[in-house]
Amino acid sequence: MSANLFLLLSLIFSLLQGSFLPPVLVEGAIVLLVVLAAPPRQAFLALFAGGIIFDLVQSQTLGLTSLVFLLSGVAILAMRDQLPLQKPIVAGVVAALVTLVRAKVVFASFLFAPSVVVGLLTILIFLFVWQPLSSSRIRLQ
Amino acid sequence: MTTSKKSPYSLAIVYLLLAVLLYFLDSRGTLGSVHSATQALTTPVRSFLFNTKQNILSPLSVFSDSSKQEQRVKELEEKNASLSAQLAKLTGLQEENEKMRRLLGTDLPPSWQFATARVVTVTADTLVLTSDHAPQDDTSVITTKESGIFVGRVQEVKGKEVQILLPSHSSSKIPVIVRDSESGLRQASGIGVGRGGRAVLEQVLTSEQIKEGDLILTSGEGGVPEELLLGYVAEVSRVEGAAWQQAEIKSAVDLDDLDFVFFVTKF
Repeated sequence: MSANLFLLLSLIFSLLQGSFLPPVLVEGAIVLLVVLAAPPRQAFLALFAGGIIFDLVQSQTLGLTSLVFLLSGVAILAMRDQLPLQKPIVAGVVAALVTLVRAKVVFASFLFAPSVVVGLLTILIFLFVWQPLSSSRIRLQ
Repeated sequence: MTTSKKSPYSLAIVYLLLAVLLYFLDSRGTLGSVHSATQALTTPVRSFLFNTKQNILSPLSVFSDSSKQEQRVKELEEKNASLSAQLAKLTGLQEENEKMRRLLGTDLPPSWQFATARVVTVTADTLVLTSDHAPQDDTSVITTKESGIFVGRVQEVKGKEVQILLPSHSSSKIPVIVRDSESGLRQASGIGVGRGGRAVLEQVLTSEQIKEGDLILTSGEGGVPEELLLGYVAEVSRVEGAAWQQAEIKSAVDLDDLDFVFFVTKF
């Protein structure tokens, strides 16, 4: 996933989430995908800008989602040699955790149902759309 | 090798510091104009999406009888909530004779002042409104002037958007009293505490009698107007020998059906 695609998805889903969909949903999946697929420098810029988009559109305090995204990105990058992140189950758990953390930090509530949904969605993405490029990188099938 | 591994993390630190700076500035209200400018573009879209969702969900419910019944039950519950609020208010008037004279013939005191707000969306335990009136923090929000059902309190104002902390929010604590649903007599006092997605009635002495269906109303403490209906007692939990009992609170308002609400600007 390119940084531009991440930003586009951030804009679309920040508008949809809360008004049409649950307030948190896809962020866990797209954060994981951009960190694994884009070069780290681009990924961090995308995470910062994506977080700002989410906060602006959802009228949250600016910087809060960027902090969650960046810290999640750093953690994923640091763990990618230790954890088999290209495995669908592991990726699903990580995506669900990122979503859960954002729900707690931004909306002060653990939103389990959307987090489980994004976990399953990530598993499906990793099973059918993305293929492992190496032990720590992925590419579009 | 070492440089290429270190540099992305140092970049991450720079962005983290930027994010912290933005958070700090926005917390102090410095970036309100940025929010206002963005809301001018996004609020109509979000409002449209929210209404579209409501329109999509409503016709679907017509296809099943159970959904019709649910709709009927919902209507009756709303009517019941409105009547219960009026009953509670009348009982409160009986307790205070002076107040009764002032309030006779109206549902809420005529001295109260209101400002309207339109519902944009509901996110988790927060209601997002848009209003030309900029309320102060902790201003109470009710559904209609007539029935006086408590919705929540103002948490944050960003531009024209106002975030309302619902009673189910984990940081919400509202002093309440409990009245019998039939006689309207005061049964107990306690605190309505948000538990994230649900609200619980706590700090009710076990010696006080509460039962399912009793009315939970604001006590008038903590800056919230008194005798506003918060919800109903549901599922009372008592532990033998314990000093306190608690109960689940069933909300008196269906947030999905709200279009407009009112800030109680003066009471």
